[in-house]
Amino acid sequence: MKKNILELHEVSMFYGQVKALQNITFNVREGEWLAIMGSSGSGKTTLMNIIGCLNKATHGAVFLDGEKISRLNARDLTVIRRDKIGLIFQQFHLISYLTAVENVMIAQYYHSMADEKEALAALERVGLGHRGRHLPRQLSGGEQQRLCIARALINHPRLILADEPTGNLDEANQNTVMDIFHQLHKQGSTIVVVTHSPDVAAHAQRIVYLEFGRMVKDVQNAHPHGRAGAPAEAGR
Amino acid sequence: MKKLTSWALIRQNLSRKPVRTGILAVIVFLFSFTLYCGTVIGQGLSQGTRTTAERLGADALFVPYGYDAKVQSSLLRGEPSSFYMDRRFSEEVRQEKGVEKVTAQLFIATLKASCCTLPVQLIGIDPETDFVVRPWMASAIDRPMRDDEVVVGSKIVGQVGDTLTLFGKELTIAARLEPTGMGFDTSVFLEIDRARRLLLASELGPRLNLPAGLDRNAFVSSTLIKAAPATDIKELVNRISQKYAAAYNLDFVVVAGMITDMAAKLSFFSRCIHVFSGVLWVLGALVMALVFSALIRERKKEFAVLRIIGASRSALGRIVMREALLVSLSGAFAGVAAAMLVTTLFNAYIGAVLDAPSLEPGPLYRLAAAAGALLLGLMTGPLACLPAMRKLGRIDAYIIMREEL
Ligand SMILES: Nc1ncnc2c1ncn2[C@@H]1O[C@H](COP(=O)(O)OP(=O)(O)O)[C@@H](O)[C@H]1O
Ligand SMILES: [Mg+2]
Repeated sequence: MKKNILELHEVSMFYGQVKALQNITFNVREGEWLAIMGSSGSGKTTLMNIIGCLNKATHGAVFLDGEKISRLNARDLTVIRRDKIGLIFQQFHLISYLTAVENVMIAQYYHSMADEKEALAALERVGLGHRGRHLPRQLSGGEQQRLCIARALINHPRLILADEPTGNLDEANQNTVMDIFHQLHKQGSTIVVVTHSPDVAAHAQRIVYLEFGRMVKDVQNAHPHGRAGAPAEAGR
Repeated sequence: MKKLTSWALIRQNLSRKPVRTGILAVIVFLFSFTLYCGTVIGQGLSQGTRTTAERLGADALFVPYGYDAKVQSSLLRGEPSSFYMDRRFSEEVRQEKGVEKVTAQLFIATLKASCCTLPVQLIGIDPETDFVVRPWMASAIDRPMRDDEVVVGSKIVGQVGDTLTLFGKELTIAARLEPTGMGFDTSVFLEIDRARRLLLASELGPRLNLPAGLDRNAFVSSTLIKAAPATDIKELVNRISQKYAAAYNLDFVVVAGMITDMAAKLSFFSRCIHVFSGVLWVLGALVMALVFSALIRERKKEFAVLRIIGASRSALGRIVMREALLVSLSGAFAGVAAAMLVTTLFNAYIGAVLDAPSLEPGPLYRLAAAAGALLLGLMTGPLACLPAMRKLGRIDAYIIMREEL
């Protein structure tokens, strides 16, 4: 059995009176594709921010790649985030005045060293090889999300973390993005996708359900959606 | 493609907002410009004043009552003026104890001269006793001036051998003086008796309004005195004026005092300039601080993204700091360069405007002033962005990401 990349023990997040997360406990194995599903306000983004080293849980322990990250300071979290995690957002969060390839290179720059060839190869992999010189606003939503994925992948993260990656995309683009995720998964990447969409969750091997900040279900998906995108039962 | 570094980020950012960048650079430009100009002009003036004292060689001047200010402006700036006193005073005062040298000069303000579009100061000097102008003339002419000859100051137009028309008489330029930084530079010198005759023969002659009792053939404008070594000049001047003031209706100027007055005026001037550049700096830094603070607010999202992809807080700090530095650098360099150009080109004019003799300070002084203005200008941006930098620390990526939703 593969080792755990991510372990959460009794993780809780309180914003004053608001209990955004309560006693979340689960593990993610290397190479696993996990979906975290729940309706709006159920605490998905809060959980993703904790896993993604953007924020610290108020209670509980989080281990990433064997290292306890739940008590690290902001500076160390930045280093972990940079070295181990590839983040993908619903809003893309690209730098508007940098070209596509520069948006990828900037991630390389803060990680180690900008390498244009490698950055272009990453764009190639998400089907944007010919759009390297374009600014984000010159790209469609789907292309921007692919660019965001290329940026997330460029430093070979241990964990790919996506928050509603298809939330702003139409169906065709959603399929393209899910295809890319399938490829990454096949190549051995560990993926955690946060989503309110059963369609998106259905692609994952395993689904964790959140409701009002609590984990209500943790189920294996017997029949994940294939790359062809044939409809399948979401494994409830 | 260009290499992607944080410098590249910064350049792109600065050029994305040319107006904002320009305003910030202009602020630093103005500050560096003022600082350099003020420092160098101030130094030029005080140097000019000091050399004036040294070059004049006289310790005190006696002039007709009420003309003490006139003679100063004439000496320092060559402002033409005419006033008359009895020549006999210069002969009598020679006998006083403590007086080493005495010479008289005759000032004539011409209204028109072929040499100059502006009125020039004619100065008649007594070749027998002169100790003031001669040192400068000796290097220019080594024989007595002929009747139709003049010696001109360094700023009078015309070559040696050219003629000048003064009071309808054509006079030949026999020599030109070295630059002195004072009124002599715009004066024309000739023998004192000849000057008096020229004046009387001219159209001014009949209308000449000499004080009562003055011999039409023996008047001068000022009497210059050099004291013997180790003489108390104040005491000497007091003694002389007590004895002669009533008879000759005298006023006096102690050269050292004139220089002190000038120095006081100058130190006030340079204090003003420095206060002004200080105020400019504070205001500039304040404006910059506001702009940087607005800039960080405006770029919060961008910075949050950079944080998310792994930029540390100090990396963001470096971006802001370097932007500030780059803006200051261009402003300060341009400011100092422009100031150097202006002070070099308009040095003489500046002295005239400020009522003081001015000599451009030496290259070393200018270099030091340039380095100082550059450094202080350079510091403006980085210092001004320090308060804004604290905002960077408060950029909590995930909060900003939430706000974007
Ligand atoms: N910074 C915060 N301060 C206060 N409450 C917050 C904050 N972030 C999230 N919450 C609250 O936590 C709950 C979960 O939010 P979130 O994780 O964004 O849910 P989801 O992503 O599933 O829509 C919500 O009730 C939200 O209002
Ligand atoms: Mg959310």
